[in-house]
Amino acid sequence: MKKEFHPAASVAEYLSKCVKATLCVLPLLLLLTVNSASASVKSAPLQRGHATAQDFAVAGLEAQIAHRGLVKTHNSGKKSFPVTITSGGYREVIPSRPTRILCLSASSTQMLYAIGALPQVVGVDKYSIYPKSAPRTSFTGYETSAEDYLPLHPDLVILAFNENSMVAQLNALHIPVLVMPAASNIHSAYIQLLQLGAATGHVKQAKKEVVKLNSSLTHIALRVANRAKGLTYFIELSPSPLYTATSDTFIGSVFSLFKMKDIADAAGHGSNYPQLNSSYLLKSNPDMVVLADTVCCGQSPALFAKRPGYSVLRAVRTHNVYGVNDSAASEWGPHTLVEFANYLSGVLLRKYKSMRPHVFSVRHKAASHGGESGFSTTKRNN
Amino acid sequence: MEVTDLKTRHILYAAIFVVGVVVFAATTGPAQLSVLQVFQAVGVHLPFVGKDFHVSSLDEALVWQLVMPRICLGLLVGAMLASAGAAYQGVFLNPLADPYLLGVASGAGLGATIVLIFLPTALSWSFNPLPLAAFLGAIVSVLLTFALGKAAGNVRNASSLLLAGIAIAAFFTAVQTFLQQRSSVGQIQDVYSWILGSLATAGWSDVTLILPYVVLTVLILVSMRRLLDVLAVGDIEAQSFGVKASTVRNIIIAAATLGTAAAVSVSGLIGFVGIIVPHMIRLIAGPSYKRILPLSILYGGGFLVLADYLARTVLYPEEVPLGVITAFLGAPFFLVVLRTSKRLV
Amino acid sequence: MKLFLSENPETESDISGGKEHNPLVKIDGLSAAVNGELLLKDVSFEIEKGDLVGLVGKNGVGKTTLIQAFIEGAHRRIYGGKIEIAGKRFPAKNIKESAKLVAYVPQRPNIPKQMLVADYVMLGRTAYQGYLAQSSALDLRITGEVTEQLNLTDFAAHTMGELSGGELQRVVIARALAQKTPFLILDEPTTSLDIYYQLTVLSLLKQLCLLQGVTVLCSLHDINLAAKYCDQLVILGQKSLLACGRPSSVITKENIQRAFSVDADLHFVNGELVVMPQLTGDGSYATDVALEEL
Repeated sequence: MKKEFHPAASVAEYLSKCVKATLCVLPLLLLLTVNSASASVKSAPLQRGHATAQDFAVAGLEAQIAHRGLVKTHNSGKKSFPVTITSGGYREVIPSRPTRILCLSASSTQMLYAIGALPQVVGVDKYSIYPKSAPRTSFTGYETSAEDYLPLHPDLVILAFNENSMVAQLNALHIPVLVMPAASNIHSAYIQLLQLGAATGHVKQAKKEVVKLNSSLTHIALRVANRAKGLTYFIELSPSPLYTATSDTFIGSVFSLFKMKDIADAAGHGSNYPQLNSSYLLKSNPDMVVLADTVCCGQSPALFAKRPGYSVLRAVRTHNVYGVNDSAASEWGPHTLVEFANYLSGVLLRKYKSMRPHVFSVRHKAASHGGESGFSTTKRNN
Repeated sequence: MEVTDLKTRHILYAAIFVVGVVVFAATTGPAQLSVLQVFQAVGVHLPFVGKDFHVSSLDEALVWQLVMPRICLGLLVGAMLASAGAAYQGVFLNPLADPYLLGVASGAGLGATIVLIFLPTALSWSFNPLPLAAFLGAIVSVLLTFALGKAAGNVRNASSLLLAGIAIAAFFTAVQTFLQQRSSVGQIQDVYSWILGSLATAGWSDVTLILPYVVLTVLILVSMRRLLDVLAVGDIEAQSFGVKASTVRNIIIAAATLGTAAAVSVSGLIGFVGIIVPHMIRLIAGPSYKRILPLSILYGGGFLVLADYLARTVLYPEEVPLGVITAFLGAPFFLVVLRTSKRLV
Repeated sequence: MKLFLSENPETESDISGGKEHNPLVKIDGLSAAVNGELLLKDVSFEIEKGDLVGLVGKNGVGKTTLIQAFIEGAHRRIYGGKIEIAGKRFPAKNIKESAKLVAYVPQRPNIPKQMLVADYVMLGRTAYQGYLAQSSALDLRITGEVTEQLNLTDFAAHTMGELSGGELQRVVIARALAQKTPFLILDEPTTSLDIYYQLTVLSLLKQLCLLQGVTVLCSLHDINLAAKYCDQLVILGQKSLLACGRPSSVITKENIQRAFSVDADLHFVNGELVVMPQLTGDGSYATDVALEEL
């Protein structure tokens, strides 16, 4: 590992780059969170300070929510209810503040907890393991009949997907239902938080939570700064077939906080979860591998290294293969998000204690193919 | 008198096809290595030849650890499925018979499902129990098929065996679906992706695992190639030629099942090869199993290597499921052969 | 019914008549049953080498059972008696050895329509072929000879499905000949053929016996054709042997009556025996009376 990085050229250069990095990361983060917001957002001054910038991010999100009609209150916003939420391709009117929520998505459960709506929840599915205090049931979210949910008398059901025409079934029973599908980036997780806030009567807490979350992530990103910039990574979702995630996924957007590059981005022929060719993995030789299949498929860094041919991978040789809980890739709740971002930043900080001097150079093209000193040839012709 | 045996030139053509496909698949893959690099990477592992070759460890791993085992497994599985398909078609006198006819597929599927659902940590064991479970499941379901076929009627009668196979397959599939219903989403996906069939994660261990079964099965089937022709005239007449039809049938079915189960256990269910390849050979080389069976082994292997080559290159760096390729490639090609051939199927 | 009780001295005595007594096939006290129902009772006769032997009798008297006694799979119906072919016990210890003693042409052979004629004839060589070996030069020479002999050379590359009924019959016989057995049995080889092919097939069998010393047993329906071509006739009646011997000696009014329940006149036309069923007074055959009696 020590051999991998060139010694710092000079302290002055090092410091100047630190400053540059800190300056760079702020607007980048803001762009990340409000990337598709209106033009007025982009021209806003950034030097007003940290908290203001965060508030501004929320304002940008709200503008987008209003623009796309994702949350609509009646009576021009004087009353919180009834409110119309558009999510997952369904538009739902929630007539009054729900008090008996059935939440069948682990990520939504985390969000409800974060915005203080947990007291209104009467049941969560068996996969909602956080928070511990949530009223867990044996439901899986794959129930075939809405009748199964009736004993809980829910006045709002939150689903991650519309399996078995559950939305139509619940509509027929006049039970409001929200579909909160898998978020494809941090930005859409924020929107879901705000939508759940509006749906449960916790608008303010939801805004606060978004600000808090954004601030935490900014903090985490600032700590790592440019240490990992341009490093390539590979996320494994299942070993056989070799499924992965592109940077255009929720887990990928966490890596984007650290300006890392996903090797699967070249593979996405329309899918954000492509099945990858092993040869390609070897050819692209990522700096870091994250195994998000430790639970489903019992994978571990040791097993990964044992697979045919993988022992030559840079990540294996530099011990940069990490096993994480599958939920890092399959959940998009604030708890999972912060935990995984923290974990990743910890790994990066530990691994790259010093700022690498070549981070701004186009290191990757030069080093990507057997260029590093650790990469000896079996029999080099000298 | 026309010689209808396999001729040297048939084997020569088939061998050229197989060698050509193997060299093509090994050298033009997405690894983008030169032919020389590939030969050197392989050569390093050969005695005497490789001493003077200099290959980077990455190139060596690419060629020797990823591409070559995949090609070898493709040869074995393709040879196995095609020859087993031909054998089943001969035994059951049914052109639509395929290697999964007697419940091999559903049995292997159930075995794999049980491991994936009840032993989720099994994949992290140093010894992977998935192939073994699939293999055992396949053998159990075929044995049950035989037991049921015997109870329902005469095992000498192939049709009662076929019906028993359908019943057992339906039952095993039901059990498998029930287990999947009760499992979590991730496990369902695992089961389905296993069932779809792939050579994508093949390693040398897979090759050595099934090599003995494939060699044994192929030897038995090749030695039975004439008797497959004899079975076409029915049991009584076969007996007048000195052939105990029921014994021959049992040996062929047992061998083909054993080999298919071994292939399924490492590659999942790869459709089409067992039907398409024997039929193409039947249309090109004539209807005698003296030719169909040995040629199925060679062309089946080559065909699957070719299909797998496409599976890993068409959308590179993405993988396409192998079953999709075999069907995509097999069906139209088969129609062309069918149209241009004068012989009836 | 009294007729059945009359003595029939030809049954055993005729065989030693003309030729030297060196039978190729010996059938001794053969009895058969299936599910407790008697199919054959104590049938004994011998066949000389090179003879064409006709097996005649009413439907259901056990002709097929007797024929199938020479096929190993069906042999388990036999519970008594023994068969000897060329001095060897049949069935032999090994099913392949049995296949080298008797070749069999069934009444309705299973015709694999896609199979080439050449491949089908080669099936006859199965008992001589090893598991991994290719067809030997001998196999090819023999199948080549029989296809030529039966005038099938032009059809060798055709599939079975392309042949006519008469051609198929020849192909099946060719297959049996390729087996190169001393003894050939045919179950109703002329049934379902027109008179031209009936004559062709029987002439062919006669030639085989005369020129190649093949011994043939075939069941026949037409007693006149049997009388014309066969060297020896075996008449079955009521699951047991009724008469056995040269046609001229076993075709008698009594035997016809006993075997077929038909009164017949015997005529000689151009020196050959012809069996003519008798007409009763009102113009109907004797069997009609039997039907009325039922």
